[in-house]
Amino acid sequence: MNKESTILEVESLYAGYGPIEILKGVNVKIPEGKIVSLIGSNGAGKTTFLMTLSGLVRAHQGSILFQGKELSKCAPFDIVKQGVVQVPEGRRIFPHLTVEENLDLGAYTRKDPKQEIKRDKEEWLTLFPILQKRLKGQAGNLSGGEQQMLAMARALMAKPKLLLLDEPSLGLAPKLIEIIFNLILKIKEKGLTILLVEQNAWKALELADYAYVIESGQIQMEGAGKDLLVNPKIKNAYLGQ
Amino acid sequence: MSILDIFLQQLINGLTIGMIYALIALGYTMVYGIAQLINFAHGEVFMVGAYLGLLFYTIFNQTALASWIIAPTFLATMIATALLGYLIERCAYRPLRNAPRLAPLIAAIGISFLLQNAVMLIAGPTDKSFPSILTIQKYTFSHVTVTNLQILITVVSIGLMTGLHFFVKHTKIGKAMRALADDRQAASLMGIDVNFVIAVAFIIGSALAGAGGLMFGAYYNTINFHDGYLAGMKAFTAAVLGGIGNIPGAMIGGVLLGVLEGLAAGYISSQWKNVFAFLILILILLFRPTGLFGARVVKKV
Repeated sequence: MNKESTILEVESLYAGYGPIEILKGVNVKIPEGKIVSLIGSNGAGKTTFLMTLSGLVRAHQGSILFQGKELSKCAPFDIVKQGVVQVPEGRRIFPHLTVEENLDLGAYTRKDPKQEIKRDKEEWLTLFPILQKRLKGQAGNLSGGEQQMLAMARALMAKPKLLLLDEPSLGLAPKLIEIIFNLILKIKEKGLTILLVEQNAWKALELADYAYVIESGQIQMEGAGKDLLVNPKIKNAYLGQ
Repeated sequence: MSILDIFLQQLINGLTIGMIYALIALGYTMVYGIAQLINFAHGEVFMVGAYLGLLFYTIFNQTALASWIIAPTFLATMIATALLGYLIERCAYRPLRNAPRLAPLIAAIGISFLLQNAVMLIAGPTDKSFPSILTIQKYTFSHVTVTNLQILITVVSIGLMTGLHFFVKHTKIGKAMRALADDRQAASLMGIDVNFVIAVAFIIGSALAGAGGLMFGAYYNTINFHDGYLAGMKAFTAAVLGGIGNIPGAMIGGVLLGVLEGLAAGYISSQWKNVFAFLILILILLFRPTGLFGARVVKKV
């Protein structure tokens, strides 16, 4: 990985809740325009890592450089403005708002003309035709898969440069998981960089250009997605073979 | 007066005071919906609104504004209480945002005492007479009387509530408020500045309470530094009645409470009207703690 193409560089990041340290010196580099996966078991620190990137968990030490700018001291809304947007675990759409209002809130920080935002909305909706049909409906009435799509579309409305996806396949039927992962590839084709956090290690490694394995708040292993897929250690621990 | 006349008269009187309760109740319910905080200092903001209303009325009455005094008095009062609401949020609640829930509640009681005693020190402990802000005209139909002040209160209140409804439903910040009520963390992940939106809720709620205070003073023609306590409790009851956190619920709850109180005053005794108001609070909390519309209404804030 050469330095020029790195969009996000995390160096010896320590973070956690109060006195409890969850991340203990995480180093991660994300090249621009690629899919990077972060896999690890429950409680390894995956979600905490994303929450720290988004500014909702405070970094105790270390740096988060996004396009050369330090994010670790920024407020969450400022981080979104910079172009780092998260699709949180469990979708977390706004259930009492309509699908369209959810999408509009995705564009909350944008100062672009209304026409441009509308055009973006129409463009992204071509990826999610199911949402198009239900724009005026209440978001809470969508199925789990549709809510995941809405959560992704909502984040895309913020015009992210780096999209953080936390467990997008969680709780979905295999067929839907397939659809969601296809969508992730399509989003990548539009030029976005993606950091994918998954327990579904098989899928995450298949999709990834590069991947990291996190355990107990530290990166244990890293490498190209397909290399990790055939790595015996990974096979044993995460792929169940 | 026939039974029907008493009913209609008390309905009108109850509607008028119910509008004021509804305006105050909106402040409780918005702040609760967005920040999960019962702002018990809100009744005091209403009371300060009544005093500021009197102050601005007296000032404007000596200037060229005197001939169309109502609009600037409302405007100045609402801006001043909005500022007060912002200050309370900024100084007392924001530092406690991540504290245990009891802490902001105690801060609210502290702010309450602070405002009551500040007003008592500045304006004195005795009742102040409040001029009716317009020349009262009575319209009588058979035995039922409506005054132009009652009409003004109703029109202004409905206007403000319609404005609020539009704001919450259609503006960007209104949508952000509803998003925050649904999921605060997800809202900040979408780039919504949580502190800013909570401050806006306090500002709007306090402006409405200020308008309520001004109309309360004009309607009863006398104000006192502890008026905020009772009116605040009544409005809180109205908010609980409609389902705390629910904006249309607070509007309907306020009007309903005013009408029930008015009817109790008309048919039983005006001495008993507070008993009825709080009986409703107890009954609602016992049998339907989510309020009349709390759990069912789709658009909650």
